[in-house]
Amino acid sequence: MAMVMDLDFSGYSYSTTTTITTSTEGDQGCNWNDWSPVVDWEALSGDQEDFHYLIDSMMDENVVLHQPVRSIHEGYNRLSPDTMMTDEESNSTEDSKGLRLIHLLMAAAEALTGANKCRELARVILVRLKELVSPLDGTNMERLAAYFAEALEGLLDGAGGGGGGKKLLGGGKEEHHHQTDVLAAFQLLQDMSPYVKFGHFTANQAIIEAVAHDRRVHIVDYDIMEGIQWASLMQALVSRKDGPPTPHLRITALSRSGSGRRSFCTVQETGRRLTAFAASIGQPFSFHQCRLDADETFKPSSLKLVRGEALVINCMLHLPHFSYRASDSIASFLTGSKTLNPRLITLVEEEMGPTGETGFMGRFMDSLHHYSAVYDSLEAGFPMQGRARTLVERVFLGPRISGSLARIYRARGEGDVCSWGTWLAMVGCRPINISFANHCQAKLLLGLYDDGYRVEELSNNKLVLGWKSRRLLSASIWSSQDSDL
Amino acid sequence: MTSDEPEPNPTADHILEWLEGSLSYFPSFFDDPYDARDFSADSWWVQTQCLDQEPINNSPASITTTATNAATTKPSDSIVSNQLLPTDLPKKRKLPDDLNPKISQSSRKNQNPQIDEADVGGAITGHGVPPRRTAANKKTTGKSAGSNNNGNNKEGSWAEQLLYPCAAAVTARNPSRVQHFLYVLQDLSSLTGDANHRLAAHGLQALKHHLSYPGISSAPAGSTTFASSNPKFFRDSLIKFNDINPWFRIPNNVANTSILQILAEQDCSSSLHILDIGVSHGVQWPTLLEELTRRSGGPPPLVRLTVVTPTGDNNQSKSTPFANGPPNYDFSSQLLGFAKAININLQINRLENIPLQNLNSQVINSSAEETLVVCAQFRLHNLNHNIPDDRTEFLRVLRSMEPKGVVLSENNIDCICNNCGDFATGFSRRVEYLWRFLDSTSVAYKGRESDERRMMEAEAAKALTNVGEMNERKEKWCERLRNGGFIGELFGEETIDGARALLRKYDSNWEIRTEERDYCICLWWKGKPVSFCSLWKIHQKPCDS
Repeated sequence: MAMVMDLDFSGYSYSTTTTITTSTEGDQGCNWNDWSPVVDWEALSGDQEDFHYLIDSMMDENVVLHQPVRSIHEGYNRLSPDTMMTDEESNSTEDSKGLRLIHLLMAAAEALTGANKCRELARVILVRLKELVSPLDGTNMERLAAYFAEALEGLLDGAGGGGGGKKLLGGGKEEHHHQTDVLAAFQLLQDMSPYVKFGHFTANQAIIEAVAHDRRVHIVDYDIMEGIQWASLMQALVSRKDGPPTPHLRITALSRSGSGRRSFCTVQETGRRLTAFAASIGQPFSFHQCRLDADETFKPSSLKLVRGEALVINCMLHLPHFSYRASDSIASFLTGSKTLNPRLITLVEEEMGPTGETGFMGRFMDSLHHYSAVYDSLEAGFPMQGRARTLVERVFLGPRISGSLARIYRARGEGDVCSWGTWLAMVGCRPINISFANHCQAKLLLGLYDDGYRVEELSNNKLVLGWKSRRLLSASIWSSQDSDL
Repeated sequence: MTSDEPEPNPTADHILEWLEGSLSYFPSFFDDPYDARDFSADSWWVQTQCLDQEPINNSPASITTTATNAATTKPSDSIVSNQLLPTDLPKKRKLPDDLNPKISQSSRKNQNPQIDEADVGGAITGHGVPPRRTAANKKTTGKSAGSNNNGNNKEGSWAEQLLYPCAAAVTARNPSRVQHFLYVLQDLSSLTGDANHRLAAHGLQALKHHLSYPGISSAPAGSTTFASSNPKFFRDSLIKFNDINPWFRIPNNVANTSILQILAEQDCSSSLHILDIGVSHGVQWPTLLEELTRRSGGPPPLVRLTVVTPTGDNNQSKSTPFANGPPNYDFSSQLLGFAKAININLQINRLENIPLQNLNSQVINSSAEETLVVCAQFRLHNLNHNIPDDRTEFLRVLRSMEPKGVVLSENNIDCICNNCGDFATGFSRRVEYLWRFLDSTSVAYKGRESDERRMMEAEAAKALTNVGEMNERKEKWCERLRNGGFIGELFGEETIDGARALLRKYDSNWEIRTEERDYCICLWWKGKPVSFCSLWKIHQKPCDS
């Protein structure tokens, strides 16, 4: 990743070109220049009057902070302390604390994984971070930093002993939350942001278009959760005007062993609710479960298929309220599904930045960037409801962050991990064009939320939901290659 | 070593005042676990007492000869006795504790009778050993490991892991990386935290200084260093430091015994002339004078001490760590008084503003009849060794003065000047040096914060910015001296044994290593070299011409 030197350092000139220095491996950790504009400090300092007093009280002792930084900004050979001070005054305290936190997080991550690993340093930095921030209050950046610090601490504690980091896998922590908390948080997430609906609506629209003339539709859902996606699909199916008669809808939900939210019982409960709902609106419906193996691999043979059914594979990954699924499990599901020649594969997944060869640090910074955008977008949706956001963050995002970091920590040294969409293309799935209507629907949906949300058609078969300039979530649609033959 | 110190004649008011002050000052002292073994700080309480007192009468006339021996007192004992001070007798004095370095620590301990608290008065005037409270000793032993932990585990100091890459980024001209580390250092630095936080703070100051004024030495802004402190506070702090950290104490001790060794080879009637190019600020000499009185045949008829103070005209020599005392600090009168008290004919001559290269027999006023010994400690590394090569020039000058012996003590680290490596390399070596100082000093002060500690550390931190820190490893120094017409002299057994015995009173992370090849006594901290001492004589068949 080439460093963008002209962002902050235009006044800083060297006789040699700065790009030369960026080629060394040690520079990998400092790429934050690239993305710092995207952290969107404007949003941080803009509508946060209610947090100002918090920051002000925290920043009193740190007035001196910007001196060294400004001196570099302006070419550090000719700077007098006086000019540093005047520069300081115009600087927002929140900006500087946010920057401090990012630098501390970067340093902790680097101390944990970099060339000069020093666990002691990582520990000291994390202790300092915990003094500075709490996940429960402060600005977005502060709460986010608190979760990242917690996640790094998990890596630090777990990295030494084998399996210590296991609990960081998604699904581990969330069990500790009370079920009512989870439901409340989910409801809030639905209301506050378009994340969940964007994925559901885009996938459903594609399904409706793909099965327009079918009498029987069979959807295999990798992770059904509360089944809310299918309630809206049923509503859409029964309300089609001038169209064919309402098809029979069969949903097979994959369930997992264990006692978590997606265990057999939970899925069964979801099925009961969906069945009742379908009956109430006159949607012909049947519900099945298909248990995954103990290691969450998928066997196509365990599915009950009926000739004449249009088969749809629905794979929702990485929605903010979803927990992490092992990539082996996802791969087995997608591979197995492809052998069944489905009419349609709908895939919703997190968009991560191009991390290239940057290793842990690059991915760490990308995660930080990603979640800071998520935090900002949630705040923009409900600026005054700090407590609600705190709940969403605690129940969903905190564990997600821990999980993300644990994965990229373990994946150190491995090459760039491609998206599942790219993976589908590589295994020979055929992209299906997103319809104009589908695109319009997404735009309409985002119109209900903050201006900061964007939708873009990244390729013909993929819509991307973004916050400002950061891509967060994509929905893509595919078909198994020979399905139309 | 306060033997040369005039008695404060404390009134009861003074003592109460001090007691009140000290109780809040060291609230944790009684509870704090420490290892008595490495802390037989005999002069501890006397100095502490002085720190909070009014400036005292410096008149030599107040010196008395009723020196008491308070050797090997433990600090807990001291505090106990301090509490009894109001009922104590005013005349309280102690002698340097390494009067007799040949005697091992344990045997010295045994010399001190156990004295009940009730006997304190008698003890002070008599043998001078403060009472020993067994219970306190028991309570405070055996937990030293915890207090010695400065995060200096196998991974090294964490602050170094920020300072080195930051310096590397400065050298690589990578401003965003530099900025990153400055941010992090800013958040983790504290001049009053543990040794690592202090290293981060001093390192950050030095980096900022370098970025603003590259290539210019400076004293750390806002810190009290030797030169900016009160003379009395300075002297007391230095004495106390020597008592708890052997950084200078061992080199001083080796120098003193070496001088005795050289002197023993000379005619008994020869007078002794010491050329003091050092950083001991006089505190090492009372011990030597004491030793001279014990010499068979008595002290030399005349002892001359020529003190070469650092030249004050340029910034570089001012920023040499430990070399510059407070401007109005002069130990001459006290030392003269002490010498008079023990019947030594002492002359002190201070040479000010004379660059080392300009010294010669005339300037120091030496004569062929006297035994001239040059005592160079932690000062010569400040001589330029490139162009101009002041160092070689000085050695030539040194040889021309025909000393009977040259004691050289220096930092045993690689050169950190700009000609011997880039900024990153040099800065890392400076930080390494400072870390050893801060780490050992933290242990010495038991992790406690004090003005004295801050001053010592700020003084040491000058090494981070001093342009003249042109250290060389001992091998390089030895080669230099051999090329300059000197020949290494083996230290006497009593010198090495004495140094080892003395070291036993300090933290067990200190060690002395001797290497036959270079005839050096080396001081190490936690397995890392700190300094070396060496003894040289003029090679009668010079090879340099």
